Amino acid sequence: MSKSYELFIGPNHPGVPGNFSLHLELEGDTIVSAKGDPGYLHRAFEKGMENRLYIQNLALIPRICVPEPDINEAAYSMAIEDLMGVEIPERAKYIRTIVLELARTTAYLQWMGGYAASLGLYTLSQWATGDRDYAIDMFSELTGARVYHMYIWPGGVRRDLPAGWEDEILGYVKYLKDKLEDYDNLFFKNAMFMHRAKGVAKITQEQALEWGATGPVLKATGIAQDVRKDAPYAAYPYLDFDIPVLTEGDSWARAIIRRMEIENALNLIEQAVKKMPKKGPVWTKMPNPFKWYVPTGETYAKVESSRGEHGFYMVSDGTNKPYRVAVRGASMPHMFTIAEKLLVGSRLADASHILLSLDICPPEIDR
Amino acid sequence: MKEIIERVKRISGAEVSVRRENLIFVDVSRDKLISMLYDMKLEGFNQLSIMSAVDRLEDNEFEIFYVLYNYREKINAVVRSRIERENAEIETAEKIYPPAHTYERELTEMFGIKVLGNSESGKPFILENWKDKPPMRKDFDSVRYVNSHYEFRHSAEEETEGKNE
Repeated sequence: MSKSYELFIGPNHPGVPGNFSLHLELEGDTIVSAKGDPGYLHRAFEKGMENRLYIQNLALIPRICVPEPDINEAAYSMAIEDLMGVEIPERAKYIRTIVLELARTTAYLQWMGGYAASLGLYTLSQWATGDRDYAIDMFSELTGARVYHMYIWPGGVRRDLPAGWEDEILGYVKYLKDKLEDYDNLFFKNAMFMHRAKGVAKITQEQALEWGATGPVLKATGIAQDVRKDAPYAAYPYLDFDIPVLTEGDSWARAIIRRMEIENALNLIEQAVKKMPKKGPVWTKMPNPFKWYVPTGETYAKVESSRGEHGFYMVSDGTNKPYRVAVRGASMPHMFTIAEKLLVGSRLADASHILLSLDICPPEIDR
Repeated sequence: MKEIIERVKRISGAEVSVRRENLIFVDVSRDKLISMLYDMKLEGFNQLSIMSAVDRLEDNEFEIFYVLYNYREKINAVVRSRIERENAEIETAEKIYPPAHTYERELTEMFGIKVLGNSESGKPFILENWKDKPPMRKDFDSVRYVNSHYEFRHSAEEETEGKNE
C-alpha cells in the first residue's frame, strides 16, 4: 500500500489567495510534490482587449488584480502614452503617485490580514480590513468607485482632486503611521509569528534571480531592485525614498519587507502631496476617446506592484483597438517557478502560509 | 547610448532597434533564437519578464517574443522571432530561463504552438476539454464561440416582461 496520498486545496478554500487550486501529494503531513492548477478565474482579458476600443479596455483591466487594480491602469496608460508620444502634466504625475501608493497600502493591508490569518491570528485580519476600508472610502470620494477606480487613464488622470481631499489623505497617513506600532506589537514583533515564519520557505539570492523573482520576494534576498527606482515613472524621480532590503530570504523576511513598504508608501504619499504643483492641468488633452487611433508599434511598460514587476506588452496596428496586449504579473513565476518548489518538503499546515508569503494573485495567472 | 546596446548589436544575427533608452527590440531568425537567448543571458539579461506570441495572421506567421531585463544596466530587451503559422513549433527556453516553462505551456494552449523539449507542452493548463481552435489565434472568433456555446441570458426585468405577455 502506498504511503502517499493526494490532497486538493482550493479552488474555494480560505487558505488559498483567490480562486486557485493546488494539487498536493503528501506523506503523512509532509508535502512530496505540489502542482498549481489555474483556470478557475479566467476571464480572457487579453483576448477581450483585442475586441474592444482602447477606452473600453479601461473598464476591463482593473479586474486583473482585485487587491491593487490601479497598477493595471497605470501600466496600460503608460504603454499607450509611449506609443502615442504623449507627455502627462506634472500635477497628474503626482496624483498618479499618490493613487498608486495608496493602492499599494491597501494591497499590503489586505495581504497582512490574509497572511496573519494563515498563521491563526485573526485579530490582525479584522484590523487590517478596517484600515483598508478607510482608504477605500477615500478612493470612492476621489474616483467614484470603491475597488475598480478607472481613474488613471491615457494622458493623465480622469479628474482633479476634490476640495479637501489632500488634507484627508494626510490625515489617513498620520492615522496609519500611528497604527503601525500597534500592528508591530500585535504581529510583526510577536514571538509566535517569528517562530512560524523564520527559516520557512527560504530562498537564496541566486535562486531568486534564476527563478525570476521580483518585488518583496527578491528584496528579501538582498537585492534592491524596484521599478520605481530603476525605470522611474509618475513622480517617483522627484521623491526621496529607499528600497528596503533584507538578506534572510525566508517567509519572515518577505513579511518584514512588506511591512517596511507600507511605511515607504505612506512617506511617499506625504511627500507627493506636499511637493505637488497646487494648480495646473491633470490631463493632456487627447482626441475624443472613441477615436483614439494609436500609431503602429510595440512597447513594454512596467510599474512596481505590491508583488513585483507588473507590465503590459502592447502591440498596435494603427487602429482604435489594440492588436495584442500581454500582461505580465509577478504571480506567474512566483507560483509556478518558486512556490511549487518551496512547498516540497514543508508541512501541510504551512502550505497556505507559504503561498501568502509569496503573495500569489491568481488573476495575474488567469488573464 | 548605453554601451550594453552596442554589445547586443555585436551578437551575431541580432537586428537591434532602440525604442527608448531603456527598451530595445532584438529581431532574430528562428534558428538563432535559443542561442540568442543564451547570449543575452551572458550579457546580463537574467530575468525573463514574460514570453508569448503575437498572431501575425496577414503574414501567416507567429511572432514569438521574450521580454528580458538586465538588472545592472537597467534595460529591457524584447527578443523577437517570426515562425511559420502552419505546424508552428519552437524549442524550449526553460534551461536558460526557468519561468519560461509555464509561459510555454500557456503558449501551446492559447496559440497552438508546440514547444519542443518542454515536458508539459500540450498538457491541459488553463483550458479544460477545449475542442475548438486555440483561442488566442486571430482567426478564433470569440463572439461566435460564445453565441454557439452559451444561451443568451435575459435580465430579470426582461424575463418578467416575457411572462406578462
